Amino acid sequence: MPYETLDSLLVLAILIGPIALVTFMGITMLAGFSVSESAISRFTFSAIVSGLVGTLCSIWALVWTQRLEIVVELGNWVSLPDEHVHFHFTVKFLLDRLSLPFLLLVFLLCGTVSSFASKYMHREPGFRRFHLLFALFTLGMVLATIGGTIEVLFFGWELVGISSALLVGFYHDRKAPVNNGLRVWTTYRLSDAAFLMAAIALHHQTGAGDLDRMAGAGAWPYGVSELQITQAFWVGTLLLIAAAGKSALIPFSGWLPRAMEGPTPSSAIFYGALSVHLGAFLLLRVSPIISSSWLLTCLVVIVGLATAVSAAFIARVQADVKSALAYASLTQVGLIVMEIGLGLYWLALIHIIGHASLRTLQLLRAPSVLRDYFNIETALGRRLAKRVHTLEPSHTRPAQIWLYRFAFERAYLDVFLDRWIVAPFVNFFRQVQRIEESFLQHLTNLASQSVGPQQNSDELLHDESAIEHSGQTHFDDAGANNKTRQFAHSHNSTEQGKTND
Amino acid sequence: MIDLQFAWIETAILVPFVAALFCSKRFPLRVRYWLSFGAAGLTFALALGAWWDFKQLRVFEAHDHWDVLNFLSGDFVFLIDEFNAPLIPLVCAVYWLVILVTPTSKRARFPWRLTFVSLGLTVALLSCRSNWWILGLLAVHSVVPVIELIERKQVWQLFAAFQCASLISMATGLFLINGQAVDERLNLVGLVLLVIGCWLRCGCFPFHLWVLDLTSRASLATAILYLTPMMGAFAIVRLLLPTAPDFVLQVLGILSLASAIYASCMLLVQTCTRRFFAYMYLSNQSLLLIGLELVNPVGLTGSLSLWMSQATSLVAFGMTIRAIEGRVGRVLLDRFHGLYEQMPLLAGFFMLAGLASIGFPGTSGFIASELLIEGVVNVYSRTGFLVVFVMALNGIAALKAYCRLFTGHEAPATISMQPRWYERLAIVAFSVFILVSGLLPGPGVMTRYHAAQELLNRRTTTLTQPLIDEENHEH
Repeated sequence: MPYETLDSLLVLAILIGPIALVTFMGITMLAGFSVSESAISRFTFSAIVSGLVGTLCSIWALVWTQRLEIVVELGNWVSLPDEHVHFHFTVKFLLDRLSLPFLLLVFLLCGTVSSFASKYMHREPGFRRFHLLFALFTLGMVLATIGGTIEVLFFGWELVGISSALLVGFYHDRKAPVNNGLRVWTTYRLSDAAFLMAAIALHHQTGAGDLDRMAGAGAWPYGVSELQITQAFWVGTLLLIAAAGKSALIPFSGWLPRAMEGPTPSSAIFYGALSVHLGAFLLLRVSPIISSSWLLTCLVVIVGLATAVSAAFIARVQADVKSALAYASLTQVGLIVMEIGLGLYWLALIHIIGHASLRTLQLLRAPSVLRDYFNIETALGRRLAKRVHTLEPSHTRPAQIWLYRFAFERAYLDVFLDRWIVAPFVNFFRQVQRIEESFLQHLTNLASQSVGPQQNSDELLHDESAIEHSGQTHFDDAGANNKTRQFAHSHNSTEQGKTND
Repeated sequence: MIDLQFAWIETAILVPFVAALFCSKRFPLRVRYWLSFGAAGLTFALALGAWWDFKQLRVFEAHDHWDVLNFLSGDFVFLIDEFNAPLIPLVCAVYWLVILVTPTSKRARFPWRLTFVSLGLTVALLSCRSNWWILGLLAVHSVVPVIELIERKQVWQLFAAFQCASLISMATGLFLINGQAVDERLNLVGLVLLVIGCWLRCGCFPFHLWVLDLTSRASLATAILYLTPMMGAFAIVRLLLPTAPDFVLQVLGILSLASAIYASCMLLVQTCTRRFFAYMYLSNQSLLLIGLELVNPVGLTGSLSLWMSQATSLVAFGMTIRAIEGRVGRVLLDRFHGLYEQMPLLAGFFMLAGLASIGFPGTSGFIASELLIEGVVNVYSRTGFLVVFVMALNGIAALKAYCRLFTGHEAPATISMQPRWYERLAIVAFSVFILVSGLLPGPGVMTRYHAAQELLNRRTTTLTQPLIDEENHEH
């Protein structure tokens, strides 16, 4: 192969920066070395620029060599060398007309946001943590974009997931961001489970998870899937669930506005620009599978349409700029998914690039726009004219009131999930725990009857039982109780230690 | 059978017992600590030596150069094979690091002697393949936590009752199976008893109450060291896997899946860190057992790889909880403790352990989980996807625990809560292991694959031998 070395070098050029950045940030944090803010910012920016240069070179190479795709296989990460055992994990990268434009977008937006973050996060206590998570996110996006097998794509996908969830809960000391981060993570884990199932199903059906093989002979977007219609439907449905989780499509839309609790740069890059489009990217990548089942195609269109319509209504009743932008993003993502379902792949790709760029600008501008309004109004000496385009029910039409309530309650998705899935689950297992606890206590009493009351006493179990039976879960956001408790623990640590260890 | 160049295993068993003799309270605490650290390190080095020597020989199994017990029992008691070769150093490393990170405030009360007795017994148990020796060593090994519970004036009878039930069941089962020529029905009863005994020793649902009891009452170090080597799973591999028919293992696999689902659901509602640790152990061990009972090379390789990964991540979890308890006492997970600012390194370590335990990409559990899921799906088809669901629930629980421990309003402390140098050392060692074995999984997976093949070959030989004998007899 004449271009083999060149291709490998191109992939190396793309990956080396993000990998070096994650390694640098990880090792310095683990070893406890102090690194200045400017050094971190410079390193981050340099890593992204190196990736951007690699991407531009790849585009140039693709055009120059007049190829439709570059496939670089680095060999098996793990392979079981047995004729009866089919397990191998191939490390493969795919640079084609889908991955390269998206990769260009990733590096451009990550570079912009990293530059913005170096000022925005200046002297924040979590400056370093932010940049570590940002580096993980960048690496995850790059791997997910150029992954040539479903496993490599999954690797990147998961890195994006964990970094996103931790950045939503970036402001540790407040209740809401942490709870929202946990909610994002919960959604991601459940939808990622669908991704993993799809990967394994694909392995079983095709014997490998190679995306270029899955797409058949043609390069994107003209590939034809090798799967049978039924197989394509089930694998595609699982991938659609995974994409719905990552792109906040219905029924997982509830997490997107919650994700805006994170720092503005992360909101911009994750939930306005890149992460929210990763689900759509996945659907584009597996478009040969989607197009091979008409039922699946219909499902994709319905999910996209439902998301777009509901998000368009919900966006109109939001009271804060970040939530309004989140739902506005979701409207566009829904449309993009619908375009994918309709087979308009090029349009969807262009839509992603345009929308991501616009939304990044809007979200980065959001924190200062109120101040600008204030300055303008101060200069004018009067209030600016208020333009209202909301769904506020000015008349008493029942349909309009219903629609307003529907939008205000965010399509009842969170309520549905909380009331009908989470609450029954948690209540049931809390009840089981109570039963288990009392049974254990009963057994303990039985076992220790002959020994006497001194050995039977167990303060810890009593404490726990008391907490369980009160049925309350406290969140001392103000920290007053927590503080008192911590102090008490600090002072009594020696005493506690005697019973603990 | 080929012998090693040195009596690595017997020396590795002997060193902890000798150290236990010298860990007397007559010596100053500092001397005891360093003596223990050195002895555990030496045991680890000897275990590594055994593994290295075994690899050089390129055989499936080998025994010590001078097998003293051979003269007593007439058979090789301690041997090293593909299955236990990396497990022994891993367990020794766990003991070594747990001893290393014992906080200064707890050294006076730390059960040094019992820990060394436990280490010696664990190495002996892992090196053993004879059924009755394994049973005997399991019995003695169970006594160690009982002694500690008695010393701490805690209720020990519940734990002891479960262990006795397990041992009696296993012993009766083995006794009946060994007399299989007499009656086929007795053989089946024996098999069922053996299964119940192993299940009790694993502490899987519904026999998991002793695990909760132990983690609540014993010192966390003892609980970690007793649970994380997963001796119940070891008993299944040595006692059950070679002889049990396929249907028995399949039933066990389904039970393990149910146990894993139960434990992972219960994980989400835990409010006590120790209970959280116990359920995390139960869930992970149940997942591992599913793979052991699949009897296919991929699933078994996944399960054995998961064993290494889960043991490490569980110890990492336990160590972090222990470090937190050492600083602020027992903590509950029903509120946010805000410990991140005071111990960011421990927070990161807890997160890494959590990610490794759920098979997150780039950590030691990733390939193991993939192999396990692949193996399960091969056998159970659609229901095998429940394993993925269990892992998802574990992931949610791990991050929830992280959030409860490390996020929230910062609680000011009058003393520094940063990890001490020895804790840093352990954190770095574990982190390097988790990441390196996650990023370069090839060699580790291959050793487990060879072990899986060897276990399956042995099983095939054991199950087909009576048929061959019968044919020969007819001819």
